[in-house]
Amino acid sequence: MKSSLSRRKFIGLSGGALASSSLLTTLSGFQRALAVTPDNSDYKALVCVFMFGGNDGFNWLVPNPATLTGSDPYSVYSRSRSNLALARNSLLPLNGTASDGSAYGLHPSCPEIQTLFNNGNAAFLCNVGTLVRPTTAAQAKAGSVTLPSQLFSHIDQQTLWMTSISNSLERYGWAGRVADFYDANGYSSSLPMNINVGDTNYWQEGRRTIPYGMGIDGAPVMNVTNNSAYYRSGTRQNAATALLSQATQDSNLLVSEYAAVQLGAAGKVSLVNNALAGGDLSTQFGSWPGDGDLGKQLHQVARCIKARANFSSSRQIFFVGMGGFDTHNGLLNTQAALLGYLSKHLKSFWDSMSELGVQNKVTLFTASDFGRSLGSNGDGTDHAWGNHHLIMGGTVSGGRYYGTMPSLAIGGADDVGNGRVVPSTSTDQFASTLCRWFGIADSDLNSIFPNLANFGTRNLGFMV
Amino acid sequence: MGQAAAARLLTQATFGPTIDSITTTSSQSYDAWFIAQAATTPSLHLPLVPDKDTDWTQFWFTNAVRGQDQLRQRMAFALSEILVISNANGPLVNQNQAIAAYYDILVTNALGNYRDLLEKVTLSPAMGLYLSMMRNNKPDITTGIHADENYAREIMQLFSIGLVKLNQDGTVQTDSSGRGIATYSQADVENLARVFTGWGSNPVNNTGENAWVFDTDYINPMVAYANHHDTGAKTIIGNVVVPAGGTAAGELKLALDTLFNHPNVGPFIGKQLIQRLVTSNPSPAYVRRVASTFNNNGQNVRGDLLAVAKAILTDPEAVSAGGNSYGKLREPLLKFTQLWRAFNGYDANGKVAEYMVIHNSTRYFAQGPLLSPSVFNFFRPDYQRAGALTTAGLVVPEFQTLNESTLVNTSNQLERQAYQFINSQGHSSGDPNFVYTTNNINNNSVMLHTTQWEQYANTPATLIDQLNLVLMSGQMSSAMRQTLIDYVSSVSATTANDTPGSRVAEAASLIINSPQYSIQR
Repeated sequence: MKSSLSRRKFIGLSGGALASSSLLTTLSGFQRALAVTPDNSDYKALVCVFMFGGNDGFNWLVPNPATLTGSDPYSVYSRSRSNLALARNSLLPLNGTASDGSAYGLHPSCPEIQTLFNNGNAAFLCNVGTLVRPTTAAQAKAGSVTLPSQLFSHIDQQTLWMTSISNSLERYGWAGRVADFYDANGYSSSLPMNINVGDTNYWQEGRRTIPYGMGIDGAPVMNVTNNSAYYRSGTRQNAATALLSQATQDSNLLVSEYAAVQLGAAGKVSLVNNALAGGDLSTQFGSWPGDGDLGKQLHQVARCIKARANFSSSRQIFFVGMGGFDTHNGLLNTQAALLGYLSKHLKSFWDSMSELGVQNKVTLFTASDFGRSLGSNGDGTDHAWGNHHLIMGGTVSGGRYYGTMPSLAIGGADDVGNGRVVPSTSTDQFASTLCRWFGIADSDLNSIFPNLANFGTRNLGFMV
Repeated sequence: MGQAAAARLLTQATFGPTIDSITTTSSQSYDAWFIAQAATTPSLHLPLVPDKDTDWTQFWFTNAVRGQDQLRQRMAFALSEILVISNANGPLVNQNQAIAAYYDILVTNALGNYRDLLEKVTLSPAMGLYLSMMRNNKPDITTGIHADENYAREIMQLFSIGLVKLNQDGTVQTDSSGRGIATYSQADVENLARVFTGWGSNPVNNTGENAWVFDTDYINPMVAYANHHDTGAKTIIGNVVVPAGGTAAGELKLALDTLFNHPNVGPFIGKQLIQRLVTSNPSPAYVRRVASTFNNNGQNVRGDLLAVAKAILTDPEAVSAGGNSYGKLREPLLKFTQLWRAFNGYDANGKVAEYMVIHNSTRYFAQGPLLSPSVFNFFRPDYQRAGALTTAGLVVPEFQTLNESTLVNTSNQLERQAYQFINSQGHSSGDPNFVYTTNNINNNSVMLHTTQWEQYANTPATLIDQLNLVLMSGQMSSAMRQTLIDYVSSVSATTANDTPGSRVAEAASLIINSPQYSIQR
């Protein structure tokens, strides 16, 4: 769809800083930081849980004021959501109040998240989404500021959440760019910083670095080249290895890429499986039909974190995912099931991090295609924009709300049309706050998030 | 057309060449082959599925591998990756008859007209459930309930015109700042959503309002319920006015006609079909030629899919290999079907219902028939792989699901399947150790039958050349050929465990698991 000309043009216009060598000359402090922590005592990991399809955040976190008076936020919510409003007495109370001064309650299927939040181990970032620059509903309706490309389209908004460059066709994700940054500064580890246990995703693809694809069972051994248990194994392996070697030299770019993946897989099998053989965790991860293997994925993440020293990794970034959130129909039942699985799996993950003693070194956050329309379509809600997201970890300044709660009124101050809420915080601010904790200096953030400079608040404050 | 050209056509246009199909096709003209394929009786799936809980994928594999209507089946599969429904999650889980009925719409119309296909897909209960057009109700102003936008959005974004205006060669029309020009607005989505109100299930146990609320017929087309249709005026894409007072059926026809006649459809659908069948990065000129055929088949008919298939598969860019960026990664499912077709694979019941493949397909291979994780298919048509492929400006859709884990899992299962064979002496092998044993073999094990191939096995070079023709359209490099000849020569063909059939299975396994084979080019 996109010509090489337009890619070159893009790089020249707005992505060039990432590739330029001037970046490398500004990082002496960062390099010192790497040099003094070779023993992994400085370990940190980010975990993204992607809720594919667009989780309806406005039924995840619901106004739950102490008293119902006048036009209180719950009745505004209830009127907008019509037949999809959750009953107020079903909500799980959360501590504190959001920016609108109201208390909020959690979807009744999430008691584990309620506990994590009220114990101060999780926080909510309110109404975050793809933005190029600060945008009001009036500006969005008038088209007077540049808006993200292809709003309301699943695949495009997934991509923009992952790249956080909402006005471009950039395909390198911000986690990939973070790994590129470390790579450019001499960071090395025996397994790539980015590990994908869910679907292949743009979030983790960098210009210099590529993610490692980890199965939920670890790294499978490729029989044709590596299984010595077979009859005639030696000569057969030699022949297969010779073909692989020839393929790496093949002039066809697709053949050599395939060979590179195969070679990379073979080269990591022993490393990964030896590392993972160091004993499992005692924390149990549940499994339910329809949970998209999220528990198995998070279990595998926990095992990789346990084995971090084997990978000589002081920084790891993981991607896991769960589908089914595109609730145009059956919202109430479907979301209750999915959020219920999510809540249980997040508790298991928290428990496993506690078991490993790394709860202060690992931060998990949720992401999704987009938020959903406030209004009901009868049995569900449609594609929209701003959404609420969760951050969980021992160094999260938890039990609190960050960002600005939007008006939940259809036709209200934040509605760009038919209950689609304009975000008040950008993915750039969300991601930058995570990256700052991860170890990237403020002065380096603009090179990774070219639109961050458009936003006033660079640190949302949800990390200690 | 000759043997190599026949093997090439059959690789692109079918679920895989065989020795026999190459022989037959090589003596035909392209015209004759397409005429014969179009005339072949469609192999359907729904008649084979006795109830909703019987896994239909066994019949998908059986028809894909053993059906005579190969072009039709292959086109149906390509269309199933554009007009996506899925029983991986959502309302179609375990609805095997609904899935099979939907796939049969694709099979029946795969060589018909895209306008007919679009309407049958739109009104199919499987699509109605998957993208929630079934029971999409007219808006209710008193409760603030609006029409469901799901199908309205996706039929435009994915099934007909796409997000941005295209030139006829598939390149994007851009504005002065270089951004693609949107084909439709959010208002167009909302208005089309209102057009698509009032369609419910064909009545099953009830009539009227009760049928609207309670019934779900998973097989027969949806029907209109006038009380639930929004009769207000709407303005849809292209400023087409849908006047007030219309019927659900009348407005649906107007909307589908409008979308079908949009100039984007030819390049948008045509380019994706090229990508599914031939190459990931067709030249703009190739896309233009195919779009032109979509627009007019030469007899002033728009949307003729047989003509489109022929335009795609007989184009100079399909008939001969291109340069270093040419080709496409073979999808895991297509590797299995090609292996089974090339070596006459079937089980004790004449079916292709291999448990290890059917029940592990999405987990191990990230692919299964109508098992996409979402309406966006297993991979997106514009997927780019970081690194050299992106630097070269290439899209590589099928690489989206290829990683260290899926590559190895697919390879290991292919290897297992290659060693599951019955040779001409009637010996069955169930594992890669070649001790003839029925270990791991049951009535659902798909066994290769090597008899037809064993005639080549006494001369390793002849065997490899024949495998090169059938599996790689004669494109094997001389280094690869020599490596395989040397290896096969080291395998005895004259002992109890090592027979001519062993040589066939060994060589097939090495080829089908090689990176060179994995790219169809």
